[in-house]
Amino acid sequence: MTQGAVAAEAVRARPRRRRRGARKRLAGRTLLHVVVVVLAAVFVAPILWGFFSSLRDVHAGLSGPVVPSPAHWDNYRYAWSGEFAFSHYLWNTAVLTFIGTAPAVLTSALAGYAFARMRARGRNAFFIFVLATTFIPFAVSFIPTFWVIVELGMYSTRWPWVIWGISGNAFLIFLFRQFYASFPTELDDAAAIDGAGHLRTFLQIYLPNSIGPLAVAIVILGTGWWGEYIYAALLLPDRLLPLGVKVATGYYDPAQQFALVPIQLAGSLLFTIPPLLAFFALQKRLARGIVTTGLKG
Amino acid sequence: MATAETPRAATAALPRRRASRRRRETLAFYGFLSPWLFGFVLLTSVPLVLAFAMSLSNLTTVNLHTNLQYVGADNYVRAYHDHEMWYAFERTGILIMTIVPLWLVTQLGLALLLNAGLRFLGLWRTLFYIAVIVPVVAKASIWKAMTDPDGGLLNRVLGALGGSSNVSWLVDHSTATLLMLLVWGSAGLGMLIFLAGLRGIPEELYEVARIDGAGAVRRFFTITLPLLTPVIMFQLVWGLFGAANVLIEPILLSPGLQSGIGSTVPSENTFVNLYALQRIFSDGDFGYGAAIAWIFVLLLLLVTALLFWSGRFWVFHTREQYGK
Repeated sequence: MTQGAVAAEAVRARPRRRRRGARKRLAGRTLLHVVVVVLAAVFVAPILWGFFSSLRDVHAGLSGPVVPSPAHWDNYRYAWSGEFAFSHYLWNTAVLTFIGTAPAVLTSALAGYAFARMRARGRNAFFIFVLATTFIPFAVSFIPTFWVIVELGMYSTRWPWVIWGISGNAFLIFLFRQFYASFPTELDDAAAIDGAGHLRTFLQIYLPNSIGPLAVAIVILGTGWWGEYIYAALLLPDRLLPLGVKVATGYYDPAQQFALVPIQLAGSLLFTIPPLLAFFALQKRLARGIVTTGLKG
Repeated sequence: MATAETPRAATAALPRRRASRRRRETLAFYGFLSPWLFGFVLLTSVPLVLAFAMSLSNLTTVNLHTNLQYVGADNYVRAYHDHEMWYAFERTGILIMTIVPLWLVTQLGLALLLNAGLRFLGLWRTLFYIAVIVPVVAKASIWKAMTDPDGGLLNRVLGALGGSSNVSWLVDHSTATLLMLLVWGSAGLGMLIFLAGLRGIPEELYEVARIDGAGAVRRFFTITLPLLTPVIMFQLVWGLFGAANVLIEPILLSPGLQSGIGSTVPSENTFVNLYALQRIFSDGDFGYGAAIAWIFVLLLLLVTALLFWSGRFWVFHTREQYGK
């Protein structure tokens, strides 16, 4: 889950124009732009190829011209409304994403506030401990977690997501702690004079002033749960599965056991639209959040 | 990170009142952290302890209450003689040794490129980053289309270059396909971290070097690279853990996914994680799977410790970064 730091850094990394030594560098600069265009094409090619392939005839394989003609836009309609029940699994995805994200963002902010602003025995050691838990490899944590979930009777229910949601996320705790540590302390002094305890200070001063980081946290954790595969695949029954699992296995011709590749791609791309939108929305939000933080700091 | 009294605490008048306030604050502090602790205890720490207990048992079913026996180190001895497990370890080692340098070079290369004063910087940054946002299942669908034996883009390019145009990537070159997916799908992340690291290098250093007549190459090796070594270390550690946790991508890239999780992954792409998972979910062998996971974790810890230790010799420490 390094995405948080990344998103935050992405905003901080504003373009910096350096003064250039005019014309003799023109050739170098042109070469630079050629290189970046070629590399960007390489990085975008798979997505474009996926898109073009999603418009192909289901029964004709992937051969033929790169841009298929005629384009079978029907594939998208089929991916959405065929026997697959896309909207049913979309709803499941939204539910899992919501219960895994919404409470987590708030409890992570609360914990981040505690680490940034409250004095307590063992605080720093505890903080390092929280960070260290992000390094527990999946291999060792998953199997016993699965077992505990079964023992607690939460297998094939959404309860594990509720617990993950309530408990928050170590990385986001780190994010909020960093953010709150740079908050001006005058505000809490004023609150303390008014007799506000930590909980009120947090709810009335810190939380309303952290729209930017909250948005970042929602998008980071939300896109994580949106695309989550392995827990859902192993824990949930078919009727509760999210698209992250169903898109991989749902678009098969039942009689002949082969994947309906163009339709599966159409489904995959439809499934990718929400996180993409969230990312583009985040870019602006992030910039604004940083501007306000800068003004305050 | 010494705990210093903040001014606010120092102003509290009576020592006794201060002590009780501190106790109350400590209590409140752990109260604020209780949601995290709740989840951590229930779904992380209890399971971790149990995982170790499981690895010493003959647990072969999800149901704990039937014929459970303590078998000592049997599972570990069995693992030691399991050639398939060692092959999974070998494949994991190869994956780590390949993907970590590939990530590093790609991420740093892209960051340097973006830092070289391009026009439309935001556009390029978004284009390199966009793959990171694509959910893993869609990444796999896309790469299945890329590597399709007849008509996939990779085979078309190979054919155009005069090579064979019907390579069966997912079956015959499954690790190569996985590597392409991983580089394409995650390099954007590290690129942004490196970019932030590059922006953090004071411009004055370059000015001074320029005045001293240092060329671009010299400036890179004497300023940029040394000052980036802490970021490189960070990326190496994250890369190591990212590579060690690769599990879902090989499953999703396997031909014939519909016949059950991980059942048709080529042996080339059966890494330790997946091997342990298969022992549990295909064979029902919980105790053995847990033992393999623990062996893996111990080896991983050892490698991580070695990596950190090696940092003494190549990570450039400055006062701002490590002072306090």
